[in-house]
Amino acid sequence: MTLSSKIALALGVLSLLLAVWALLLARSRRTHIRRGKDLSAEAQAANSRAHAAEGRARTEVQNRQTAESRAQEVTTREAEILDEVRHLVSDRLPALALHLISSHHPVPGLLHKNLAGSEAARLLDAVPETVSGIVLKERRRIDAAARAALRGATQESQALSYRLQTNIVGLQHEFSAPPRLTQSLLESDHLNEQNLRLTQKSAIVCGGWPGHVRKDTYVSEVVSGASSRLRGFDRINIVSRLGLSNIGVVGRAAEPVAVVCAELMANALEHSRDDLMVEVGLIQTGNGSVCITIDDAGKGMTAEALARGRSLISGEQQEVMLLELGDPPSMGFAAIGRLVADYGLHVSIDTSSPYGGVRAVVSIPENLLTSIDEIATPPSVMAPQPAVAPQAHRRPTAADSPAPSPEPSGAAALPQRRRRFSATATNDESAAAPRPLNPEDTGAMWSDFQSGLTGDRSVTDSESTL
Amino acid sequence: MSRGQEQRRLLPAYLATGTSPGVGLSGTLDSLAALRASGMPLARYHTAVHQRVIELLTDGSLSVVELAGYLGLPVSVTLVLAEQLVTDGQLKATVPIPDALRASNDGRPSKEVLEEVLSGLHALLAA
Repeated sequence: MTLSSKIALALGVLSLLLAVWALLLARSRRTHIRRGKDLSAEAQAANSRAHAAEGRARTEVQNRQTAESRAQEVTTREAEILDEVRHLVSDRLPALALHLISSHHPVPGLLHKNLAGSEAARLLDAVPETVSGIVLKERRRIDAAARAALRGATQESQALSYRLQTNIVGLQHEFSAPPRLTQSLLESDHLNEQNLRLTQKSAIVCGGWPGHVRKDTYVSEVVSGASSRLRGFDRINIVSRLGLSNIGVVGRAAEPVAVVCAELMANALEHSRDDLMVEVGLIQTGNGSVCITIDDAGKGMTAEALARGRSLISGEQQEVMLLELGDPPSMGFAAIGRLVADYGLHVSIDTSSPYGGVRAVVSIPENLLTSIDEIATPPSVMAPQPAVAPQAHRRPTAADSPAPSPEPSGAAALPQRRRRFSATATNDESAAAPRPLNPEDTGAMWSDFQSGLTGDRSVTDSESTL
Repeated sequence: MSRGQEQRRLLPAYLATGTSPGVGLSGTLDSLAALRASGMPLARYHTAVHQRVIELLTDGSLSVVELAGYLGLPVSVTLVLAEQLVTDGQLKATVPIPDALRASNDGRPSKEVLEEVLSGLHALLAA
């Protein structure tokens, strides 16, 4: 063997050894790697387990937190509801009570806005509604009872006043009453009439009827009669501008129209100074109705009072409660409203009076008007005459006074007498002649008569003086 | 008022006289007193009925009772009206002759007086 072969052998062995070692190394490394892998997997599993545990713990904490917050919420909600109930009792219900008396008092809503929509809020809101329903119902019941009581009392009082009136009128017709007594009788009559108006008004507001049905009555008489029921009726100046003097109000509407006019005139008198006149005009409109205008020169009405008055006199309010009429109740407009609703009149009020006060207009529709036979039932002297009619100031001429001709026409209402002919003798220009000596004649005749009596009682004497 | 006694009167008599208190009324006027207008204009406080009275009495005279008939008012009320107008000067009243009324049967003139009147009238007609 040569050295080289030895070296080669040695190298070969060495390389084999190296290879083996390398192989071994490689194997050990592979196992190492496999083991490392296993280890890392284990570690991962452990890790994830730890994570899961941590998560559970966290949700537990969360749960506990939510539970705590919910408990918190519940207590705050409870406090809120308690607050609301307290608010309801101490603020909302008292405010509601005020609101039910006068609607301009506001009623507060819920205190906590976050409660809106919840069951509790609905229930809380239902309380005022229910309470107001109950209160209103009870109020109507009590008011109806009060009205019934007042109606009963006023109707009895009204009947007594009518009896008193009958007595007073009977006394006025007593022949021998001296003027002083007559005047105090007239005063008593007026007082009684004022009292009658007040009781009648109350009775009407309380659902009573005006008291009696009249016959067909002249419009001018109705208006004059209405004015006579008031204190200070002297201040009412009634001017009739009716084209026809025979226009009347049908019987069933006569008294209601009188009551309506009396109330409006009473308002006008009340709200104007003592030295101011109240102007009342009667006109017939183009559509056939008759309008009664009542103008005062008073202070006028505030917008609020006007609106309130208008709503009352419109007659649209089904039920007028005494409670709504103030204390003491002002019943005038309410009574008008009832009559308007029952009889189909029309009444308006506004502040366009030519004198700056209030103008009220009563309109009597055609179906409540009629014409009256002026010959059979002449209008009273106390009713205003139509402005065009009386030309009676004409003096009779000396020619036509001594020779009375038979009654020429039925134009004049009263029974005719010689001196009334002047009213119809209109075209006679000489009517404007100086006053005839008639009264002097009469006076002379009377004095002759007297001297004839007071002188000597002998017949010859009296004859000689004549 | 004049229509139908069963009906409630609508126009009270005080509308005619007004409400002024009658302090100045003397009460001397009799229901038979003859009234005539003096020609003095009416004042503002006079009522439409006062106006009517003046119209009726402008051309001649009437007694209070007759006036009451024309006005359709009670005599007592007409008496007040007349007193008011006489006091205010618009009417002149001639009182009835007391002798004629006093003589015999309760306030009515005696037969003699009426005969005197009759003969007086005859004399007037003859003249």
